[in-house]
Amino acid sequence: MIRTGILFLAGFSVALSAGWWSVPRLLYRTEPQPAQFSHIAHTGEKGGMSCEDCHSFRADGTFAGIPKLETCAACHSAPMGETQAEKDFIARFVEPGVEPEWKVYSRQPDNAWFPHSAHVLRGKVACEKCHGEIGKSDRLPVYRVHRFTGYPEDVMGKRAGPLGLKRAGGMRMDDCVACHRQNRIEHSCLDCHK
Amino acid sequence: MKIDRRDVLSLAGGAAAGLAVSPLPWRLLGDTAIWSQNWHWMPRVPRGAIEEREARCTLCPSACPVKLRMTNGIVHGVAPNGGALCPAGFAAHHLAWHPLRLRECRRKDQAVPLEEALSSLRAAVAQRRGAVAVLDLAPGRASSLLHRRHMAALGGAYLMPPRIEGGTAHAVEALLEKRRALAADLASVKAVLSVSTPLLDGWAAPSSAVERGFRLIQAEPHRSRTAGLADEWLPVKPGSETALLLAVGHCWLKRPEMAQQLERLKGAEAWRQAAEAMPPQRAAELAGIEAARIEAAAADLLGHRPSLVLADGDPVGGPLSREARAAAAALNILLGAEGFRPVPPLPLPKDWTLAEAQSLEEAGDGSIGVLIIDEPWPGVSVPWQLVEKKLARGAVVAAVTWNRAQFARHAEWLIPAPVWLEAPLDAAQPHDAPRAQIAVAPAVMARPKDTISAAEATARLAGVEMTAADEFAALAQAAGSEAAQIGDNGFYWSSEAKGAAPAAARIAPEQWTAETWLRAAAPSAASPAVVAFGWRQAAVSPMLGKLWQESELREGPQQAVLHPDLLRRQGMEEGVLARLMSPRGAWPVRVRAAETRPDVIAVCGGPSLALACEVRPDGAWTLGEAKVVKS
Repeated sequence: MIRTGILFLAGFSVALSAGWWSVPRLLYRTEPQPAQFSHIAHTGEKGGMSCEDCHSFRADGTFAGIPKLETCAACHSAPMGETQAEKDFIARFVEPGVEPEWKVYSRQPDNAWFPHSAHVLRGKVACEKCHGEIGKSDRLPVYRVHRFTGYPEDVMGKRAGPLGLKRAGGMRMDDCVACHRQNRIEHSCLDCHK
Repeated sequence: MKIDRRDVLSLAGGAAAGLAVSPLPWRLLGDTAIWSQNWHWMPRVPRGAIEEREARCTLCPSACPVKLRMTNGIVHGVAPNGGALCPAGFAAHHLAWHPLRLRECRRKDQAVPLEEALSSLRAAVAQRRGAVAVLDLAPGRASSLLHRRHMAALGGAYLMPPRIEGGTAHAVEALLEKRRALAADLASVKAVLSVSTPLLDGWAAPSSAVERGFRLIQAEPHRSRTAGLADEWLPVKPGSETALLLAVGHCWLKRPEMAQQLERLKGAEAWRQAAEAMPPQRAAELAGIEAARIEAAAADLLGHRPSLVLADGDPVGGPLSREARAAAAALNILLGAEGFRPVPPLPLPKDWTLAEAQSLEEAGDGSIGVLIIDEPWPGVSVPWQLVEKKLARGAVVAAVTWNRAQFARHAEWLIPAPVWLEAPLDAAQPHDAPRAQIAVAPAVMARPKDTISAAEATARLAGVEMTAADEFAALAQAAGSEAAQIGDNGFYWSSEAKGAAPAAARIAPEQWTAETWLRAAAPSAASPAVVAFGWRQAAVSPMLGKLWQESELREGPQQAVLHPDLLRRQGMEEGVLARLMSPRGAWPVRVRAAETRPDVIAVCGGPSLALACEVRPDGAWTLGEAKVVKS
């Protein structure tokens, strides 16, 4: 009986630790970004830029997202500073005119329509509310993508919290709905799913 | 240490319990559901700058002006451009991604290159043992003229299916001494008696005349959307339409001014005798409604001149009987055909020769050796049994079609056709306005490999060198248009001018006797009678259809509508699955209680419902002796 109990507990412990710790980590793989990028070098005192300077809105109100190479090249056709990262970026992308294929941390499914203009311009939602303190970072975060779904960890949400089952962070539908409820904004399916 | 089965089970039980209280299984469950969003065949929404273009929706004769929102050559939004748009128009760009889309050229179950299919068809044409024909399932387009040109070059025939929309106008043309191509002029009428014609639900343009308003009397067994919106709903028994129309004529015969109009009607004496033998009281018994309502309808039409009588039938349920259409046409002639106006013919380049347009019913049985079927858009409803009997033994059938569900199931060769916005495709002529039009949508999206429009395919078979776009441009030039090019926004030309057009008589009521009319006035003997109806454009987008069905905004495909009393008598409950049984097979239907005649079951369906129908000798089709039984 004791032997059975020990074996049961052993199986329970191994599966519990695998379920809570190991396997969720295995669900994601890490992919490199095409180049390193320091947001703080651009938005800090030295750069003095705002988010909208690069992540701009088009004339029709749609959000341009990650800037194209031409936006980078407008300032960095030649090195402005002394860093090796900048020199590498110019040599690999600006000079040959190759568009860097940035991995998007917030890539949403195609059936979801998220209007930045409604949130940022009309709703006055700060960029940091969803994207965190990325604007103050010196390096790009590690890009981890879910092996099944193909969505980044920032969208899927970090693995389950340390004590509860609630996910930490994320940009899934639950997160949108929770924020809308918190701000008492009416919503229907067709607001986001066109 | 010996490991026995109990140890293994204990370990496994512990592991299972441990996993169950960890997030892993629940997380995997959710993640797997999200994984299904990213399967490789799912269409991808393009990212990038949004472009806006003007075009025309050419999926129905209304040819509504639309604005397209597109990104990187993919249209992801359609909106009205200075008017209204039907729900199918808003979802028209879904058609390119329809799950039933035919995407590769096939011979039966085997994929073949397009060129091989065309070569084989050319060889079949050369070795044919019967006539070559093209069956145009959307006649009245500029593309139809191209088909007729190509068939003239090939020595083939151009065939049209039985006319549903515009059937009454065609019957009026045939009854008038001076034959002209006519169209209903909804913009000018003040009252309409519509018999089983979905006037406000896909038959006419959603704006213009309908917005202006007119008094509408809808005679139909079930409370359709049109019946629900009409000023008056006459719930007549199925098959009693001719009796109703003759009784309206009976009421009018008393008026002296009708005698002069009656002289214009071919076969007037037989019709007069039949109308005199059909007083409202007799028609009321046959139709199952009060005689006073028939008399009131007759008076309404005379009190709100100009007025119009339509008996086209339902685009999915099929045309009404030849006699019902002729009876409606006779009433229109008594009204001076004031609800119809002549339509000018489409202009033609001088050097074009066209094959004669022929009705499918008129083609000889077993006469066709090579048949090209042009099915350019969804919702075309023609029973295959009507086509099949015209084929010679060993006939080669090629379906140039957008989908692999309808005519593709019967054809040896399946040739994928481009859909709206993938090629310059055009709309048919309007049947609710006296206007000739050429409305060509632009090709703004890349068409899938190996697709070819039916007009391009018949041109290749006939050895015509011009592309379809060039032929459209030649038509536009013949129309005298300054912008005689199929430009970035497509091409639109219309003419309100009056002109005479030859129209062969398809019905010959001058040969009918009063008994012919009266025999056709008897309603269906089946009880409960089963009738079919549907909305042709519902097939454009499955998402749209699902939305309707689940929101119960309208009946969806495979739904049967019964009166609550009949539902009880049949021992069925709302929402249960039943079976539509016809001599041609069985189909599942979900029953729903709604306002309808208590002795009628109305089955809503798509084009495949036509397979369950019986085809009458006059080319009309009905569900006839079909039954809806509990599963």
